[in-house]
Amino acid sequence: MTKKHNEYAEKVIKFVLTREEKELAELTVEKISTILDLSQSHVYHTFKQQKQMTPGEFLSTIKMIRAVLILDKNSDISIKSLSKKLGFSSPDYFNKIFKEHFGTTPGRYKKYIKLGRCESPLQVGCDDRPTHGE
Amino acid sequence: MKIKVYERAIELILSCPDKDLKKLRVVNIAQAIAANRSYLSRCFKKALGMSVTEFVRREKIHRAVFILDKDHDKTIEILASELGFHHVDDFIAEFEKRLAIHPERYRYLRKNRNFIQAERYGNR
Repeated sequence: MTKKHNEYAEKVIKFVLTREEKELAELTVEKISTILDLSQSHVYHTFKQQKQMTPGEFLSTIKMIRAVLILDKNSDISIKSLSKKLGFSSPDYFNKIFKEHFGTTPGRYKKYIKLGRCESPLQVGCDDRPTHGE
Repeated sequence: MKIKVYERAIELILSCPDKDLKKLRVVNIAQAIAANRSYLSRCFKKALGMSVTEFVRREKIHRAVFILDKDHDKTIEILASELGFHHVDDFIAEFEKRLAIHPERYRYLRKNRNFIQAERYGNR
């Protein structure tokens, strides 16, 4: 593998992390490869080899991280508009992917940010926190 | 409707304040939600495909991202220690496993994103 190939993953990471939401929402691995003028299959293989994840998985993780950063700054945003903001075709699909990353739905995560994280749950017990299954 | 044990554990972990994340061990979690420890471990793994400990480590990285975005001065060593990583390398490895990038580099790119965008890809 040449030195040039070794830089592929870094270029992709740098590109993705410096995008604003609007641009991030429209990104796919194919588009990134085109913009950076890199071969998509080389991007895929070098990324996977060096980072132990596919560029698609990386992109998805960054989108989800961005979702919680948005929720943190603006907890009044609806899940529907958040999902749209990040380029998901449907809120259901967004919910599904979010749950894979954080173990819960964005709606509940929002509650935890809003209500939780101020007192230790290990001391106060579980009674006063949001309940499931309503 | 009955709340599943693993869901209560997730709720507890996700609503835990940053400073208390380091206290989150399976035994404490089980105690706090009044569940049997090995039953909780089993249920959790079955439902999420990862152990409680792995989930907590992952959540610590998510919190680290929050902190890195807001606090530009905190050293990685202090951040790692606040989140309960015994060694900074352990934290870096976990961060790289999740985000494919060193935490310091992550902070640098996010902090300087406007400058970096303008410098290289501004016209695209």
